Amino acid sequence: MSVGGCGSLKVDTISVVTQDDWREDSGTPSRDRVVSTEFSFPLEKAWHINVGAAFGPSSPLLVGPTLIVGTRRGDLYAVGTERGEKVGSKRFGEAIEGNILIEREVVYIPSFTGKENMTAYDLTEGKKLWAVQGVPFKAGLVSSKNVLVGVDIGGVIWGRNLTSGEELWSFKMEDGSSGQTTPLVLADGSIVVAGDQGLVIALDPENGTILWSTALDEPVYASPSASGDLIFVPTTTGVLLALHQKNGLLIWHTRLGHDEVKLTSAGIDRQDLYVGTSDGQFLSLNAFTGEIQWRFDGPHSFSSPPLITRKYVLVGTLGRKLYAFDRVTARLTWETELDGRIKSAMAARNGELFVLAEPRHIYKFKSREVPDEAID
Amino acid sequence: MDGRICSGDVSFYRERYGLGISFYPRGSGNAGVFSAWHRSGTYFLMIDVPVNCMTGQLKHLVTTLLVCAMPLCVVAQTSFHFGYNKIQYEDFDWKVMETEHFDIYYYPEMLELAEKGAFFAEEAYGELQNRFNFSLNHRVPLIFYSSNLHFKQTNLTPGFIPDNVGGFFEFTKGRVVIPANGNLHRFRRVVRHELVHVFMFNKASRVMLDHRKPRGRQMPLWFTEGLAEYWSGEPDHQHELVLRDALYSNQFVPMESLFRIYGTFTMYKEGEAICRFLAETYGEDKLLQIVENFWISPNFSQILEITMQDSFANISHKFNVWLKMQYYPELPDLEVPSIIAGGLSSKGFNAKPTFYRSANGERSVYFVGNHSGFSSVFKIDLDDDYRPLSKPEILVEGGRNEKFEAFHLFESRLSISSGGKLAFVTQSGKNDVIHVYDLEKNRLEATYRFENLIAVYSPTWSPDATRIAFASIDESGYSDLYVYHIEEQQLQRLTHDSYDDRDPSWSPDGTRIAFISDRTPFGKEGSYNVFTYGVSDGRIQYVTHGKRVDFAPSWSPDGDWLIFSSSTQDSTGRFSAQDIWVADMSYDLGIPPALASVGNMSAPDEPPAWRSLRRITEVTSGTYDPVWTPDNRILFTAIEGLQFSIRQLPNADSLVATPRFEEYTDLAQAENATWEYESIKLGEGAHDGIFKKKIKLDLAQGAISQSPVLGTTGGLVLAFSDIMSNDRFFITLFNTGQIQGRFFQDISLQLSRVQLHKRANISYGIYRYAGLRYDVSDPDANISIPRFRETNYGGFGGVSYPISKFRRIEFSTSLNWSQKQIVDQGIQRDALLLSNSISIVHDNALYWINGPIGGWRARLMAAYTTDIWYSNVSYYSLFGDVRIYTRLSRGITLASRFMVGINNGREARLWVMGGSWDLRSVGLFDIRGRKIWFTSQELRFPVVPAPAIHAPLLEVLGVSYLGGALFVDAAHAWNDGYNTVQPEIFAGETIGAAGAGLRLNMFGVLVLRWDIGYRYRQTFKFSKRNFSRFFFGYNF
Repeated sequence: MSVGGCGSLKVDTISVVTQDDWREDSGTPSRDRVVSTEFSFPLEKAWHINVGAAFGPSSPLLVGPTLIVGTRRGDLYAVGTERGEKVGSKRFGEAIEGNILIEREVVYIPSFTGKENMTAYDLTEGKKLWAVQGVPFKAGLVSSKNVLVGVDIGGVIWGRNLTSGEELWSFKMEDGSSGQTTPLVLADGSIVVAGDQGLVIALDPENGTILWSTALDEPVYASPSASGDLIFVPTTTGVLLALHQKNGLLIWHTRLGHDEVKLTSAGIDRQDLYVGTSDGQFLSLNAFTGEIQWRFDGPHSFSSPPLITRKYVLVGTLGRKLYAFDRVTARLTWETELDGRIKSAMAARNGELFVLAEPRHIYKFKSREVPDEAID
Repeated sequence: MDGRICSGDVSFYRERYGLGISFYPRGSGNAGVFSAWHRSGTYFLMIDVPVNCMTGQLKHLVTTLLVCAMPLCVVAQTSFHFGYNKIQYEDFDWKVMETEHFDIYYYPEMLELAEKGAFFAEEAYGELQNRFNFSLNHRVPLIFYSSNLHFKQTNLTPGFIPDNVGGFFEFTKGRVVIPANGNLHRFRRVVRHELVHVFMFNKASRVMLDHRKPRGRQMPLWFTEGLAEYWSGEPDHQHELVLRDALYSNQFVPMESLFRIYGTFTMYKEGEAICRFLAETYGEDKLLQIVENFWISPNFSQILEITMQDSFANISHKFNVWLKMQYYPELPDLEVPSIIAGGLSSKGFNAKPTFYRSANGERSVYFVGNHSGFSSVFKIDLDDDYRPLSKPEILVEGGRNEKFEAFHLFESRLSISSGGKLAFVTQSGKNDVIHVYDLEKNRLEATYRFENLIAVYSPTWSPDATRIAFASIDESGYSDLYVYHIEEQQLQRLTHDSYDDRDPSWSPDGTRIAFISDRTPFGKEGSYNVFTYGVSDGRIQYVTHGKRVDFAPSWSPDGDWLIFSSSTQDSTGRFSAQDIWVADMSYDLGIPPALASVGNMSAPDEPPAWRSLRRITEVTSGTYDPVWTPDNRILFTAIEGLQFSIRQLPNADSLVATPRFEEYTDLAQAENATWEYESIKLGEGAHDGIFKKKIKLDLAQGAISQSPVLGTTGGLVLAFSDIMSNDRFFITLFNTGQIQGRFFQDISLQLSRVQLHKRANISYGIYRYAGLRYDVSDPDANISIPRFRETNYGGFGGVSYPISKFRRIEFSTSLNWSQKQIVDQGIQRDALLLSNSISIVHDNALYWINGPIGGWRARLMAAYTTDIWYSNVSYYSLFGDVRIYTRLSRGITLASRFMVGINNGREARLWVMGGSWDLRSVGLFDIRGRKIWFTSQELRFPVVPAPAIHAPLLEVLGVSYLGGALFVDAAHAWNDGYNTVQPEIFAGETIGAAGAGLRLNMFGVLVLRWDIGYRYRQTFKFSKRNFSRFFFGYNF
């Protein structure tokens, strides 16, 4: 690894892919938020670092010994995961709100404002490969079948060649939706995009062909998640919906709060689904039926998507609290208070937990004891 | 207004002492910073204090600081300022109730109300946490008052709070201050409104910090207030009223021109409508997105465009269409008040008409109006056809003295007894009083004050004129009905509950009192119905029933009808225009349904009964306060084009016989449903906290200054205050050292404290001042460059006791050890100076955009300064300054100023004059002498009084007002002999000027002044020399 000077960023080991790497939000294209590690509570804070600005809703990325995160000042910021030292940073536009994506050695960065709204940057070479101007991006980027797919706030979904940035196809969502959430990549490689007016579209990334679409008529401002045959769509009206991946049919929907309650992105591990609400509930639901399995009522909004291990589920709040619940007993196993609100998804591997929190801090926690065996 | 008052006051400091002044608001008018650089008096001094101080209490702070800054200037020369007094009548016993997210400050008398307020706050928190997707990570202080009159005493906000201010949120310490007004629904709404501000402020701050953008950026007021209204509840009848009026009178302002109605009630309501439109058109979540995108640009239009993904022009166009589609289809069926009803008084604001026919048969209408800035009772004589015989004339002028301190212009009705006794309410000191004015004898007959009743509204005479019924808010914060028995001097309470009972009207037969109340199942949602109170049995009966907001019932002369204003709610929840209605009271209900007796609602056990209700108008916007006169006419207040006028409709009986709409209300359906808002009880959901002053930093500011005389100076100011802003501390530290070796010798430090929680305000402090000093008033200093070295140690104290809002007496004292060195004149003298002064100050001036336009203000002062150790200094001072503002017409004022100053004795200081603030034809402080007189006559008139109407281009440039002035000044300073000429200080001769000027008000706060004219010297001998002077500041 080499550290670039001011305004540059190079990460030599970026092309060495390990199974523990998180190269996109939550580590996997489906964003089920299940991690293959376990914690032994209580966790202890290993380090925290101020990176100069706050974060969007996505999780940090983990590539080898480096943590990479985009900030709302527009910086791509790299930190050593072992000691929390700054590895480098580079400015891309004025704000990185959505999910950044790393494919091989290239990082794809959406930008909300600035001269360029999307940039492909070679992390090993430390140089910009291509960039495009256009409508701002608040949502993140995904890739499938060598196509980079995104949706801008104007509601235009497009696919670009990963290597050249050439636009392969694009179309605007019919209902006038804006793209506020990162698309999903399903197991078969198809892409699912949700507009903020509730239009959900599944498409073929190679040519943009719509495979199915469903109008939910509910606003969607948090990214959907997928697990098994289902897609779980949180809304800002207190409703959580489950759609079938094959055809978009509504399998179930459940109201978890009144119509002003905002839901976090869901985390799913087989039959267990976890979601937080802005009115202070954290719930475990049966992912197949939508029935509530248990509920925790807290004093503050749950704002970060959950992180699921084999035994526990972790979640952050706007009240600066980080909670860990026993998945079976619903017991609050551990809690700690950070310096600021926790609004972003977390990342974890090898018994280490990485948390983004206000005002502009990255925290690393680790188990004091040897963690249990990782799940497969 | 506050800024104008304050800056007006401050300008005088500049006038006297050479203060460089800037005033720049921080926030939405609730906080600000006042900066001053004092150069001529002694040392460099920078004052930077919360603008809260710039009110009646400004005097203490500025006095304190000036005293410190001018240890050798006698106290007598330091306290020259005016301003109204904000009086702390009550010594509130503040308590704290701690809920999950709030610290509720209240006083014991209003505990029950505070518990409801605590519930409202937590309820709102839960909702806003969702709406904003945001949590507050700090406890929010909520400070409740039980009435507006208590609220007016708060020191948390600058200036004087008008009747209609519902509450405020100040940014410095995040405090929310809310008064109750007797109506719980409104109280709840205001709590929610202010908490929207709290959430928005914190969320927007967080957004800016997240993106590392400076936090000083402000959202447009229409959006912050509009969103606060929109998210605090459904559109109310006022929302409908204002929008209807704006649209139907062609005064609707499109989005791109909202700056033209900045800060007005119309802006609030239009902002609310815009937020509703955005939510309905683009999605409710877009409102939050606007806040979250706030960092993107200082251009709010751009933020809207990015958020809505639509052009601003398109958004604005869609809003226009959206709004007009709701209202214009109704227009063909509506009546415009100015067309259907004759106008009696339409100038300024007019409300609450009542009629009286005198013993000699003359017909007159009396009403409360504001035609010139002061609210007063007006009288207008009418002919047989109700045509005005003359212009309205003032019967009782308010706002000029303590007795008639302030009228509640839109809240309290008038009542005239059959014998010609006019009963009306004004604030007078700590609470409201009822005055009785004999119209036949043309004199004030009595004033009734009720010790435990804070606010009083709408007195109504009993037919035999032995009793007066009225509504009042007591210290608990609830509004109830009372009757005062005049001969027995006994107060009888008619209702005693948490419902809001208002607008009583005694029936002609004396058996019933009609009133409005929210004691209806719909009251919880803001509805008011008309009720009657049985005088003999205390039985309360419905007259109207349903989702409607009824106002101001009054009886027809024969007692067969009740006439009132009402806005009804349709099935969609939308309110109608506010029309005139009548209820048929000519028959008793078969068996009256008893719905409530005093303090205890009982079950209806009577059969159904019907009451006929008829709407007799169909106006475009609204009517208020209808009165049925013995001449079969209806007097009422009409709102049209945002103007409130008194109008009359003839043939009342015909209007009633052919109503525009009639309904029969089945009062049997009037449920006996009591309602009550929930509370968070002390000891249950909330626990008792300990009231602590919580002295916290308000301001820390450094400053550096470069002066050709004093060189470079640097300073630091720290300001602290307690949670109520009653106890304030100031630390000023600065250094004038020119070389490193003098750094410590030339350090100056001042510690001061100002206490405002009692009626008498107290200030005191200690100081050390050292270093170079520039003082044109020092008698020993070089005349051309009065610069010398001086070291001072001392302390000071001051007491200001407000006699009334308009008058106060001030005492000040200081003890100062001074060591002065004037090298070029070989002077070195030590002194231990004791200075004492007493002043009396009067100010009832009416301020307008460029300064005072009415009333008068004056200061008389006497002081004595002596050197109690070395006897080097001993002199007395006398000073008088009188300023009279005579309004020749609505826009033209003659301002006359007369000033005399005498310093006499050993080492007496010099008075100084010259410059834009007094004698404008000479340079700053060119005129000096131990004795002075000065006079100025200035005729002020408008040139472009309303740029929004007359010159929109000027308004776009920020011009709020352009006025003109013609002036004549004259002054004379002397030392030993009146005519002993000292040309180097312009003493011994009369100097003057005559000319004209322009006064340009920018953005409502900054007044630019440009004067040109001719100078006069040597006893007005024409010198043929003209001058031009440009400066800024309010008129004297």
